[in-house]
Amino acid sequence: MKAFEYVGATSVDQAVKALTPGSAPLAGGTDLINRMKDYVTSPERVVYLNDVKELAGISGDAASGVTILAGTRLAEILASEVVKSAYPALWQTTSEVATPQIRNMASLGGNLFQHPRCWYYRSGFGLVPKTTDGKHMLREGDNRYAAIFMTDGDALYVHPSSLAVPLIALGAKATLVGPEGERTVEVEELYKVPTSNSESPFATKPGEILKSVTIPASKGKNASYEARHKQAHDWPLVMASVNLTFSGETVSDARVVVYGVAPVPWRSKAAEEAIKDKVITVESARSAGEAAAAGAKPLSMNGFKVSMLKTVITRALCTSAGNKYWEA
Amino acid sequence: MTQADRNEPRRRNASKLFYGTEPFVDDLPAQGDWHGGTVRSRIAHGRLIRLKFSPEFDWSQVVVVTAADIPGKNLVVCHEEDQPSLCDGTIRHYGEPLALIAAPDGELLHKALRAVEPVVEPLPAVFDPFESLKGETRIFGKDNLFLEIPISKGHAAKQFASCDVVVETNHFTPAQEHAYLETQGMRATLEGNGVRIEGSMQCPYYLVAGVARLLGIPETDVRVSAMQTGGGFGGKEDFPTMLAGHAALLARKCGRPVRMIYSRSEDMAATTKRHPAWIRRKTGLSRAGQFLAMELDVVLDGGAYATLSPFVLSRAALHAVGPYRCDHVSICARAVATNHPPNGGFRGFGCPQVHFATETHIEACAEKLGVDPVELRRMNLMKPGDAMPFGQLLGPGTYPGVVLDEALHRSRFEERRAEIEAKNRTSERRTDSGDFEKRGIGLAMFMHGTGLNAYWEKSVRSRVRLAATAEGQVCVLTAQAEFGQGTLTALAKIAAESIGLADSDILIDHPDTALVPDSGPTVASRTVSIVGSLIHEAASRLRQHIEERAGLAAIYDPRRLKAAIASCVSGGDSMVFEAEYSPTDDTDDANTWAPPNAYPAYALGCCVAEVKIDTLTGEIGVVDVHMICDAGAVVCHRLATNQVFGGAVQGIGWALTEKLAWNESGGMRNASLSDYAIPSAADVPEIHAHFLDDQHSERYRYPIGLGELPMEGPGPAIANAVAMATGRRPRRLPISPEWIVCSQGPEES
Ligand SMILES: Cc1cc2nc3c(=O)[nH]c(=O)nc-3n(C[C@H](O)[C@H](O)[C@H](O)COP(=O)(O)OP(=O)(O)OC[C@H]3O[C@@H](n4cnc5c(N)ncnc54)[C@H](O)[C@@H]3O)c2cc1C
Repeated sequence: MKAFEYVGATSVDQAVKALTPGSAPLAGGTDLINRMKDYVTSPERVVYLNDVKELAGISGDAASGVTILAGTRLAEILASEVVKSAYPALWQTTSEVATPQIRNMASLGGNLFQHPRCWYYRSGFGLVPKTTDGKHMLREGDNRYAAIFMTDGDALYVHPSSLAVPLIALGAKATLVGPEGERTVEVEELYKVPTSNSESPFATKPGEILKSVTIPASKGKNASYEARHKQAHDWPLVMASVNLTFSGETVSDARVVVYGVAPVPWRSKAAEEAIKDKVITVESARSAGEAAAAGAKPLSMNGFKVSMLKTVITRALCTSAGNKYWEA
Repeated sequence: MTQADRNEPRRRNASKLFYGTEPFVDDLPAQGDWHGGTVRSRIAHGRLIRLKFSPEFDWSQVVVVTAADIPGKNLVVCHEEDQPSLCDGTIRHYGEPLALIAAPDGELLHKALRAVEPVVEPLPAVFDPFESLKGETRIFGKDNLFLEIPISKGHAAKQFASCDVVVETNHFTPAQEHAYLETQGMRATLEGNGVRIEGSMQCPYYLVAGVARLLGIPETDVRVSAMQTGGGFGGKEDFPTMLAGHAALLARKCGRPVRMIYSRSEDMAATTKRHPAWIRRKTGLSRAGQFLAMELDVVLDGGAYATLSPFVLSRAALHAVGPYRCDHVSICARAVATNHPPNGGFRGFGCPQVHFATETHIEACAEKLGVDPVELRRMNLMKPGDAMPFGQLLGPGTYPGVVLDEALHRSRFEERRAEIEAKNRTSERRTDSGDFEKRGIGLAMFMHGTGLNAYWEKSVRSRVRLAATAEGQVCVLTAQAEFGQGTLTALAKIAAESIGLADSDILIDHPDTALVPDSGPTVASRTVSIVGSLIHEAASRLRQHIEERAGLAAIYDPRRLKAAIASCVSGGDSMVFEAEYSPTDDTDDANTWAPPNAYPAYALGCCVAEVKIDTLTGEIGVVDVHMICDAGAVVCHRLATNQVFGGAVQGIGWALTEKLAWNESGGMRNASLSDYAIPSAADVPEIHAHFLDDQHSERYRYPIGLGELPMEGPGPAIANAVAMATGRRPRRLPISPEWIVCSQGPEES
């Protein structure tokens, strides 16, 4: 690990001031420290956020919406009754992240700003890993865990945060604070797709940190479903979060977001369209899954993700409506 | 008395480990230590023209060692003399050490490592052993063949013609990372005319020989102290010889202690793995199911240097047929050089690979014949007196059939199989496209010869020593390392029981070659069996001595015995007793790799595994595992049970989650524990361990090695369970969700 300067911030203001170019905010450290150890990220200065009291806690209720401050640990999200009852999509996903020890350390902010797990990125080849003769290492190499959407581009890794997926499905907004003050954006807008190694995968401005995430009032039904290789201590292979509003029995509005298939949390407009104005049944859910798969362009080794994608969407939809995704 | 409530000694260093006061190598106080690191190759094959040292870096701050600085022989001492300690001009694998650097701190070391650029001329590399055998790219000798072991009994080729049914299958088993908790680490200090090595290792005397050759100094000038070691699994058998040599070279050049502690990613990328194996198995059977003829090809990818490949190959060849009888067998086993980093020792040592092939092949045979695979096994299992293909007769009391029956009984195998069959037919969890939750139950037999094979066990000439103290306590002096398996506890218990003293009156510590005799490496499940029996022998000498001095009565009471020992010591008796391994029968010295009486005894096992599969997401859950082990007398039940749990988990990982991905240069792509997936607690079911050990037969009077055995069953048992669940037989490990979800997944290609 490269030597760095350490600043322990106790207020947001202090933190923002300390975050000069070349600095990185440090929360639970479960992602950042590992990258520093492997020299993937070598900040000159690290600004510790965990002692900033204004950054921890959950407030609000199902009727008016809930705000989770960026420093809130995943374990605290799990302990929240309102998250559990009103936003099961988020609760379920949080409960499956990593391990209890990691959830005790990891923060919401760190989760949303963790860096991709792509092997090539983690071995120092950047997010758009190419050989000196221009070959794309992920396109040509071992791409079993890579993207199946947006694969015409050069960012082929998958977005690592599983919490971003239910938050986007729930229509959450992120409040950022930086040298120019505060601003609020959709969680979806935190991310962008880099086209070269010099670009960031985050759409934040220099010196900005996440202050909080606000989830709007819970109206319809929401759920997540994930498929995993390992049942703990690992990221999902593919996951879907859905958020549905109903008029009577039929879906009046749907959000379907998928993990593990694109360099950003993948909003499947096709699945949303397909389920709109339908009653949720295993059949309608499956058609939505089929619709989602339509535009997929898998790479040489990850065709299996296409069928997983259909399955997780089907099951997330059925689960949200309280239906069994299997037949009795 | 149940197995659990036997009165067992506590693990020797348990509280020190618990409180963190037992030092591992990196816990040693820094006494002006410098940090050592390795400049490594990024290509698989080529010539090293020179090393370019960046002029921007101030090289006066660090010390650099290249092959030219080696005072002795540039060699990692092992069986073949093919592996240089530092690149001698030809690079043969990714990650090969080209030079060493020591710096006063880690950050400077890292900068220095980045400021060296190897200038290389790449050569074509070969990663496929079958390509390699064509010999177009030269890696080792004339033909890239490290070793070929042919074993033949009867006339297999002729016999096939008269068989009713012939079944042929191909199998592949992958590389596996040891994933020991503590990465490789070594510290070298100059001491007198020589060097002192402290570190993480399994075989202290290997390091003595290796460092002495490398530095060109007598072995007596090399002192090696094994520290508490955080896991080995065979990965700290051969590799530490290289690392100790590197640390010693740096210490010598910079004149101060040097420690080299690998990071996890360096450890995973640079150290040995389990040998990937390609196995073709052909069996001819009678209509009734008798094995009449067998043909087996075993090909191991040895990587760029031989390291332990010949030994792994030997064990694979000797166990290739498993615990089955067949009169006409032809085995061709080959270890082949490729430009992958060298593969080396790993728990099981060739057995997991061949047992996977055998136990999944038998199921294919049963399917072809339309008989129950359990019955097919039972019909062909060996009994005492039956001959193995290389000539050894299965020893008295060795009944694989009893192990099978015990496993069937304890796991309720047949009932469960019937229940699962019925359930799979009418699964609750179905969609209109069909069932998606399927279960399966599978079984596998396995066996493991104890110790090194007879030829090598004889050549080691292991010696142990017992030395009494003035207080009447006894020190046990062996070279056996403690790396979590409980060596110190088990050997002390054997000494206490054999001498007749209380466990607390036995002194034993991590081996230091200045103090202990060479009792051989801590490998091959030989510690409790072979070294334990030597301790027993030395203990009898001690007892006999006391009996002569103090009379028979003195040896029956621990307190009187202790007093008698103390009085012998104060009376001036040397009270040092040794025992040396002597083979029980003449081994054929010409037959190094397949000696007729290969192993003194065989441990046996049977694993039953039940799986639950979601055929749409591909998730495979192991829901139940039974491990029945027959390893002779069990010395410490708790430690033995832990061995079974650990081995089973490692077997589950090998079967399901541990997928090693290679980069373009044949190195490990996913060299981190977030990307190389070892099973977590959530992926492992309750494991039921049972030992056959309380019978009255001679076999259960002495321990037979147990350390490796449990790793060997879960792979094939899980594969057989998956086959029942999905109707598709996995021929390759690991069995991944991709393979379940679509048959065109990467595993099939
Ligand atoms: C074995 C394992 C399994 C895992 N499985 C999952 C999984 O299933 N799903 C999943 O989503 N994650 C998973 N993770 C990742 C884990 O959730 C993240 O590492 C964790 O949430 C990061 O939080 P942290 O507080 O430790 O962040 P840190 O490591 O402290 O920071 C992570 C990044 O976020 C930045 N950052 C931190 N706080 C802020 C802020 N307020 N504003 C802006 N930037 C900030 C840091 O600078 C850094 O770049 C897993 C991790 C491990 C090790």
